[in-house]
Amino acid sequence: MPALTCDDVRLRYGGIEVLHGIRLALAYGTFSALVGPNGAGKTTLLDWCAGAATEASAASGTLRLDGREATTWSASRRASAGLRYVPFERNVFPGLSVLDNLRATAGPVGSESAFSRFPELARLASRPAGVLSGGERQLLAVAGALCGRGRILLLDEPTHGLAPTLVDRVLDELARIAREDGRAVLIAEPQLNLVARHVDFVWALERGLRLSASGA
Amino acid sequence: MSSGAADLAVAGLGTGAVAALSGLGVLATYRVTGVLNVAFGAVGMFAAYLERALVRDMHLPVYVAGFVVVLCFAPVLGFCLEAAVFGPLQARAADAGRLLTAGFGVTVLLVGIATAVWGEQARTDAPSLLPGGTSHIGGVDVPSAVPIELAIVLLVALGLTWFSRGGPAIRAVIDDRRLAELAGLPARRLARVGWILGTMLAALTGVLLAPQLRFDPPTLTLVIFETLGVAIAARLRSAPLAILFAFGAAIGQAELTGVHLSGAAGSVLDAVRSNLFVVLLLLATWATPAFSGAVSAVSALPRRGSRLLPPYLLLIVFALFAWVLRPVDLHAGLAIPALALVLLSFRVLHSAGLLSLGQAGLAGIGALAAGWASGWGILAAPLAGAVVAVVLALPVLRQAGLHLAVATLAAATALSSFLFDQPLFTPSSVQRPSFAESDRAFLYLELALVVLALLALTALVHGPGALRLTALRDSENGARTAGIAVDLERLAVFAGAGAVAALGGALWAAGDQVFDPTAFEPAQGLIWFAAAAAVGFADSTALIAAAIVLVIADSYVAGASAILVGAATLVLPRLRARWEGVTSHARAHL
Repeated sequence: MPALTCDDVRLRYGGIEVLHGIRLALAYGTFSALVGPNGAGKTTLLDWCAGAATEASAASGTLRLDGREATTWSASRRASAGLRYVPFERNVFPGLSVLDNLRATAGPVGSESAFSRFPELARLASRPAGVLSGGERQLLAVAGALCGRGRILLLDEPTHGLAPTLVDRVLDELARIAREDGRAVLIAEPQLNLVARHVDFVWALERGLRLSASGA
Repeated sequence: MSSGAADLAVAGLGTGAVAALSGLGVLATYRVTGVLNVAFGAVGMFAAYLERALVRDMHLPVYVAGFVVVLCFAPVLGFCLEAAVFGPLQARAADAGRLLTAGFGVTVLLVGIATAVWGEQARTDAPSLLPGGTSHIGGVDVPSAVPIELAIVLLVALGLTWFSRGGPAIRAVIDDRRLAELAGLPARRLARVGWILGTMLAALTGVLLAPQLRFDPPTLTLVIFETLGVAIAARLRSAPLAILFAFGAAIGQAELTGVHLSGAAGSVLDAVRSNLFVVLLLLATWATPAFSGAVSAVSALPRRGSRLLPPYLLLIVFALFAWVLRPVDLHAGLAIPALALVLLSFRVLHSAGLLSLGQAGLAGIGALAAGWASGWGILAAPLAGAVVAVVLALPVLRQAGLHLAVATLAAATALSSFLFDQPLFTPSSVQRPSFAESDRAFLYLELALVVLALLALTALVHGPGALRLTALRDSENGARTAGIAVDLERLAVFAGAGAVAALGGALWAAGDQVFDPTAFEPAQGLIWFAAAAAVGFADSTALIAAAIVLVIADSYVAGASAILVGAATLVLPRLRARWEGVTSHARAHL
């Protein structure tokens, strides 16, 4: 049974249709990338899947999580069902320290795991997330999702702002948790060449018109 | 400190405790949900009326009634508000404008229900939960209620501090509720707790405050609302600061009763003393940094006007209908074009993405101008309204969303308290122009002025400056970087909206031929704002239709317009969203 399926997703902003009947399916144990140029609708699609689409959008389509119809579920109910979404912006709690961010999103055990995987974060443990650099925040957000209990991970441009050496490590870790822990991971990424050697599947989105999957 | 000053200070502690409880209630809800509960004044008012009804009408013991109201009714109301109104709105990521509108929708609904059930006459018989009498301690008279009130404030403050310093999950929800939801944290459960706590504290505030006042539903709502200043002065974050401001303002107010001046200075001092919390609210909104993001407060509200029925056609139909009205109905109908103009002033503000809760105050300025400048006052009113609007907008010109809304409401409250309620400033009568002294002639003059306002609106929305206003509405930063003089444009829009509202107020007063300060109270302004929000700020036809419905409703049942508007504010946006969903789905399958 697929971890997540989207069927015939259509979404409008202010009378303009930005997604035109998208179909997508994610299986457990796979790492996939959603690629496409700017404005293709990647973030919109992930927002919709996570229940984070704004009121200004009007949508139709069906979302299933573990085979269960989840279209009308709230964002928190989807999260409770195992869906973990890391948005592109506003993805850390700025008033909490790095350690408390990880405790909140990944639990006490997950925070220890995050520090062992990314020692860079351990050095910042007591610092408020609000004063971190853009790259540090991004790493913190990704680490929280990676070490948390979500079984279906959606990440919007998780490598944005990261140092080149960290990009590969983050993508390797995402691939590892997908294959070893049996989780379903989907990242949105504008650059295919960046992710091609890490992922199992690539979903190509063109101006919200078509979504085609291919093995990487 | 002399014994007299100490006695006054101790007397002020009681009021300070009530204001502190009110401020802590607002903080409790805001910190967990991110929603400024503007309905807390109405909740407190409703709780006070319910307590009074249980004791005076049903003869329950006062403590049993207090238990029922504060510990049973208020938590259920808080739960319902979260479950039925604010929770679903936040789940749909509604913006500050929509949340604010819903809050004022709840406010006017509760005021309307209270007026319909318990009447609009002023009451002085609210039962007191706390013991009366005083004790003499250390040479100072201490009211017996004061130690109990202080103990309640201390307990509530400690409880809130303990709650907000809970585990990382609780602090994460307080920090960013939206992200917490995406991370699977119990944001909704905490939000319910926040609403329940906030509503209980609002109810307790109302129940403790009412016995000290002569009150009616709108007045009590507003008196409790004025304590919002303590929460805003504390930047909606710090409970100790809120308590400090509450006690500071209350003790200051009490000490001022020991100061006596004669003549006009004495009147001004009396006004300041009675309205020190209004002063605090006004200064807090002017002085504190922005407490809401730079989100356009009306960004998600409907922008398109009705294409089915042009506003001019509606006015023509009304004008024809007016020809056959009975004199008594014709006189009541004079309020319709006046109110239509006040509602159309929201359309002016909307053109630049601005939001004001102070239009009632500007309408009142127009009414005063009409009274002061006899005969020609109707022409002077727009100018007076524009000038006052600019003066009041200047301190908060760069604020947006919630902050701007609360600041304009504070300004309207100050105008009402310091100007409209002072006999020193109010005219005894308001003259109509000599060529329109009969009701029928005056009605057609009003309609002609509404047509002129509509023509000016069309020029504003579709004229050469329309693009600049649209840019301003969609992205203030973008507009600034594009070289648009954002501050000047905003001032011009505030001035224009102020002029239209003031013209409406002048016509209102000239229609009645008397200045009635209750017609321009901030609570009345909230009903008008909520009505405009419910039908859509951008729809001139709907705004005029709303004016017709409101005036007719109130001419039959007191408070009916508030109930109608409150219900419409809560229901119409939801119906509209559902309708958009249905049409989107239909388009997708065509």
